[in-house]
Amino acid sequence: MQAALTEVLKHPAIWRGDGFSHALPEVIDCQHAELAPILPGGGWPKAAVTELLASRAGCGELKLLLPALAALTQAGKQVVLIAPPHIPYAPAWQAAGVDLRKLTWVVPDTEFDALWACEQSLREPACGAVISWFKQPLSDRNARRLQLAAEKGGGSGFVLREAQHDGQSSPFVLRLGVESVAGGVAVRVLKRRGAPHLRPVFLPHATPARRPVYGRNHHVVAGTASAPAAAQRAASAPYAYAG
Amino acid sequence: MRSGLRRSAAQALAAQLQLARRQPEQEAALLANLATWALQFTPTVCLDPPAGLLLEIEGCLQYFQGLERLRSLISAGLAEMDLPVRLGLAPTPLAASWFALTADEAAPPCFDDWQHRLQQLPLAALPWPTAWQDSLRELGLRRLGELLQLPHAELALRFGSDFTQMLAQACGQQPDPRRPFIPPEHFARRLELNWHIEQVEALGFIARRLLQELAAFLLGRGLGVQQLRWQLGHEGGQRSELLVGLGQPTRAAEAMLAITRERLTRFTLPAAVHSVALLADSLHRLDGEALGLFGQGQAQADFQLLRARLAARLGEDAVRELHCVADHRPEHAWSSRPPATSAPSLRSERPGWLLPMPLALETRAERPWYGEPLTLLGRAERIESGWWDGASVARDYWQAEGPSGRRYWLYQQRLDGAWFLHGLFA
Repeated sequence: MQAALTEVLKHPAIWRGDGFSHALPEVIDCQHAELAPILPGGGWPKAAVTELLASRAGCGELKLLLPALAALTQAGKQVVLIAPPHIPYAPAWQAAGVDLRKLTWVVPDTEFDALWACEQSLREPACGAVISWFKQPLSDRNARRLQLAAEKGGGSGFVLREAQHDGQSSPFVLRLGVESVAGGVAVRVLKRRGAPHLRPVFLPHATPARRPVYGRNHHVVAGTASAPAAAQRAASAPYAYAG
Repeated sequence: MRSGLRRSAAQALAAQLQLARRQPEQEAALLANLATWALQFTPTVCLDPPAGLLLEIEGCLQYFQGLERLRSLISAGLAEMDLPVRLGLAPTPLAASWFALTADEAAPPCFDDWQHRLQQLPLAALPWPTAWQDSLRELGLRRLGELLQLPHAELALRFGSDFTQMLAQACGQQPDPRRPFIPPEHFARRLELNWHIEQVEALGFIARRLLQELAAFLLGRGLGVQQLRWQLGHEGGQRSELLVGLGQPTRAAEAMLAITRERLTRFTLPAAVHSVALLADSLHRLDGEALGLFGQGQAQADFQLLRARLAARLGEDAVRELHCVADHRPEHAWSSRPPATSAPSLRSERPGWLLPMPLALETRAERPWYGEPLTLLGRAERIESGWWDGASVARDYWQAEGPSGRRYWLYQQRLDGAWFLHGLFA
């Protein structure tokens, strides 16, 4: 689609049947060309909490967030990580462009403390993004508290949980499911404002799966043979390969 | 009734008399807290024991829009704490404190004609040792003016040079330097009760008094508090502690009292309480913060304050920074403390998550296995380093992928060929 047409279509007076609601939320750029079209406003919402359900910790949730976090820290905003499942590996985060001076890693003892820290950080206008990992699903009351705190502080909140989409309702306006598939990450919109989007979006890995250049035979395993099967399992609908 | 009476004599005079033991250390603590409170009016506050405070107010009269307004602020503040106050005003500290001693509680202090009023002061009301008072009475002196007319050299012979120096200082003929009060870093106040409390509800009254003092302390220092620590001393030497966390730094006594009451209702006393202490050791800056253009809507964007609050509640270790360290060994290439040297950025790809400890992997069909068979991708990166500090590593690092599509960071120990999982490309 041509850029000029895209500009025109952003006009609030134009109604599109498959589009988002008219009031586009204020967003931060998600820095993913593939992801932007399916997010209302084209990025991560500001002054709101986004829920990401990862099939397992380390299945690609960082790939989604790191470019936006890098842009935020370079713009002088603070980023707070609360109770991440592993050690945020400083060299990799730096290589992704994150200004480590703007990154704070909080390790609370209990889930309750994590909630408290998340709420306090979201209230703080200096925080551009607050990313919090939880083991248990948030209760409706706690989720609303976080949402209110984000509205007060104006930053972007991200709540991550290791779970499949379990059909649970949640007050967050944007919910995404993240799953690793062969060669990349599949992102599926579980809930958003506007028309539902059922097709998962595929984000390929930066370094493509290469065959080992050397090595003994048993190290060489055909990655391509099993990949379609995994993709089939991950999503019944076909992928939108973009980028 | 006058001081110096015996207990039996006093009780004979007034049968319904209630006796209480005087607690000098409590009085001193209260005076120090009031001095901190008074720092909101002027930076120069001096203690004048046992019950006086000296405030240098000339420099701040304009800021408070005149003497009358400043006086009413001070009186109203002390009235809120249920403390009666008598004010005196003079260019010299001694004269001011003598005026305060003899002042009427309701009358506002006046500044005019202070020399004349100083001469009219009755000698019996001044806080001088009884030996001096007795000799002065024997000399037939009643007013300070009569004393000042006497020749100084003879007075010095009779009462000592300290006495004449004090008189000169009171009249402003000699300088009277005072040591300014320096407020303590933290608030700590203990009340020993004359009676024992067995009901949680009754603690609320004690809490209110302590919180009012805390609020006054914080107001003087321009600080707020986010965590209150209550220590209760029980009969039999037992102690119990109650931590009250506040949502945001505050110094409003009513808000703190409301939250403390909430916590107290869920608290069961193990035994009767005979002492209550309030400690506030993690204090936060509240004043001097820039307000938003439209009032308080956008609260002050002070990230350091947030970090301090997180650390106050979660512990210093729980709030960490991340730094890169110039070291080839992956587990030594990061630190939560600032390193001595900055690290050059790496050229090879690193995983976003690092496991706290490398996880030993089993091998199935001679391939590493982590819930699924892992396929090695690309070239190995050999890291061999650290022989000098005992944490030597010799490893071949690989990226690997399983059928699920997850990317792993593995290594094979060159010594024994064992496989370990060290990170996740998320």
